[in-house]
Amino acid sequence: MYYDYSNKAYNLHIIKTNKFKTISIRINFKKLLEKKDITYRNLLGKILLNSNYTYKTKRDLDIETENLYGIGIGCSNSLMGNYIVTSFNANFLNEKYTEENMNKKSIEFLLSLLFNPNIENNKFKDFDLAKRLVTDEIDSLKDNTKRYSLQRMFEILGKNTPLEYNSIGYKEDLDYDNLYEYYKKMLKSDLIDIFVIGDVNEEEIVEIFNRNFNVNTIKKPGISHFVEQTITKLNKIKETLPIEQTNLNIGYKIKNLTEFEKQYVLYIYSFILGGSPNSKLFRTVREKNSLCYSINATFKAIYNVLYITVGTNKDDVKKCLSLIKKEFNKMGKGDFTDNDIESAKITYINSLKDIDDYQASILRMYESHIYFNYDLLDERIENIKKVTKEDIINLHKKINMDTIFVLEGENNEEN
Amino acid sequence: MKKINFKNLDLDLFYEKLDNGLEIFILPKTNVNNIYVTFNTKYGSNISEFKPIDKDKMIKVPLGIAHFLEHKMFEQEDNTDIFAYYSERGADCNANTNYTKTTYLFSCPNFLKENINMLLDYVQVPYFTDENVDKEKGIITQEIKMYQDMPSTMIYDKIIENTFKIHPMKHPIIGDIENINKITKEDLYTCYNTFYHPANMFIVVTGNVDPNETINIIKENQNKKEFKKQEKIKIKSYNEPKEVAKTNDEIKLNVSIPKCAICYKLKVEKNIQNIFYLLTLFDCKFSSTSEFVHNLLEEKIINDNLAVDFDDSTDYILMFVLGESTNPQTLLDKIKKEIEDLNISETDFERKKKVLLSSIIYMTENIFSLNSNITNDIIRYNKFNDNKYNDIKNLNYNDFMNFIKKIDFKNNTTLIINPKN
Repeated sequence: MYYDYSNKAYNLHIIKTNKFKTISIRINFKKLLEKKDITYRNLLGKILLNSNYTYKTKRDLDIETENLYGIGIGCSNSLMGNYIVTSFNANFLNEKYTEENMNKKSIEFLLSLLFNPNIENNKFKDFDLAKRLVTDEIDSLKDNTKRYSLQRMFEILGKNTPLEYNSIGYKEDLDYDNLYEYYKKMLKSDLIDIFVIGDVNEEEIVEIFNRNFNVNTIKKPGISHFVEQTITKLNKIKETLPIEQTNLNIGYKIKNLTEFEKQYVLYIYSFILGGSPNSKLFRTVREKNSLCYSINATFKAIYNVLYITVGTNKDDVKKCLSLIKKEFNKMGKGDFTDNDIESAKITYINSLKDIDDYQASILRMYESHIYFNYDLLDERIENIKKVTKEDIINLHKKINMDTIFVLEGENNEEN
Repeated sequence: MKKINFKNLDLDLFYEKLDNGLEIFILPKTNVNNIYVTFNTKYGSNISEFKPIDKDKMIKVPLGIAHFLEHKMFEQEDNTDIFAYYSERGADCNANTNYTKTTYLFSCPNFLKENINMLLDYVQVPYFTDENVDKEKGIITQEIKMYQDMPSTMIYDKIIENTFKIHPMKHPIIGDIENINKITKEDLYTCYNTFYHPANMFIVVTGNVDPNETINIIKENQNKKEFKKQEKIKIKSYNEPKEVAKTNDEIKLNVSIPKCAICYKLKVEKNIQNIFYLLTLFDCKFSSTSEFVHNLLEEKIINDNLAVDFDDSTDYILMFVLGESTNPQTLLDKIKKEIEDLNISETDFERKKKVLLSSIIYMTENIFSLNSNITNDIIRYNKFNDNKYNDIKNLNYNDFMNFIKKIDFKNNTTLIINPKN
């Protein structure tokens, strides 16, 4: 059962269900993305979750999370197209499984982190610690070579659009003296959506937020999340790192997607091309030619891009590329079976059933409904069934190869 | 079929052992849609010397063969594509190998009968040829290289190598390129025939199922198949010394900030109580709620939390502490010193116990966690522990203090990981 308790300052969405023994809360602050927000909000999340007015150190605060029966709290920043969304999350056992009044105590604890920070002379006390942590995160971006090579590819593919940013932050934005002011501004001017899911008393929840969520400014919704792409000439870029395996990433831009294509046809398309061990790419590049262990095709609809990632030998890059191009072109010729389409559809429908099994994924579904105007569960099941072979062939015409990015080892020993 | 109540957690586990020796565990959870099925053999990379079925002599097989075999089980003589089969039913299908077991699995909310039959059939009928064995070598070579670029995997592989003197656990689960290239189809058949007999295997089903229906599907499938009676498998046992192989080591990896790790090799009786006590001790000492970590952060020796981990794949229990620091040797020295101070307050102990109890409830919310919880029990203790909740409730501070005082923490190995550049 879905309840909408929106007021002028924030939208409160309550999903009441008795399926779970836990309660999940997600508080989203959303603003139009500027590059510096990424670093500032990464710092901010670490500061607010490190201590507060009552629990002055990380140690004291974490001891309190244990007293609250191991409540899980977190803060994450998601780049969602033209916006950045900062989410404060909590997951805790329903008081039916612990003790009376724990629901209220747990929510108030999360809100106290948000509204009663640890301040000294109008500055965050934990700024330096957070800065050390974020510096390490930025320095470690290269440690995960798959993720790093993908990030480099997005920088090239998404040049001059929000796709070019990483989600961790940038060194040049770390020395910021006014983070406390920035935080106050976030509370005042961000669009706020609060999601609560579990076996809760909705009146009690509304009451808790009325009393504790001290934000009163009126907010206006802005432009769409979706980032349009302009077609440019093909980029081919190669870089090196001291690594063993070569990563080949290929980025495609998509023009003029319809709502239906965004939500449904694109899923079916990328699933058939490289979304499962039964896909064209997996069968050809891995199983028939033994050129790789991992190969995937996936997409970011908000940014209108599709991309393929492969881990292979330096000397096999050309061969992989030519096989991938061949399989890609087959998609445009309709060289796939009705069975492939049916498999993709049933996989999609089953993944929707899985969404319904987890609180976090149900919240995500409502989130994408509100932010991207995506359909909810039942409509999704009906709509995916409508996708035809023609739809897939038509979509192919809108997909353009834009970037080939290769990250290879410096002294790669080949076998 | 036996019904076992998960004490205090309003869940029931159904158990049956078939005539061919196959054990079946079913945990119905009807408030979810999905179903998760794992088919497990008690065979992982830790078994590298054994007496093959119908042979008299012990043999030694190439490293990484259990994992190689896992890849090759997906080959079928009639060219049925297993991935295509599951994909057509919207199922996720996969397999994995660790030190002590190999697991074949699928998850799917529907087509239960077809999916289970396929799982049993493809795992119970091997088809290895020179050609399909050869083809896999290129794929696994790429998998090895992928792991070589993952510092987190390499750290564990290295510190475990330095922990053991003779036990096969010192080698990575996946093996190495040299050994992989030696593997033949005959080797695979030898391992298969020895370790994939139903008496060495078990099925765990969690999720939205009817236990009777599920048991009947499995029974019907197994009744159609003939298996020779299997004697107890003879596996080489190792007299692994209690000392570590190498007390300290340094390696270079593609990391930006130096990392370090310590592994304690502990000879303690393996039971749920001792494992909880060890985890509680390390949690009290090295988690973010400890004074120790608080001070390290203040002194700027670390910027982020330490990680604690444990392993009980052999007769030893391994306890790991991992961290990141520009001064890794200082961090390691401090960790070593800290564990010698066994002053834990009763308040800390009781609070950690409360969190452990909550974590059991969280675990029952997820059919994947439930499945691996049952599977791990079978692998570790050869039986399911239905009384975990009360076992934790009964942990007590005095027993805890007496237990930890007897442990020798001198026996450890340390590893420093420096950046390549």
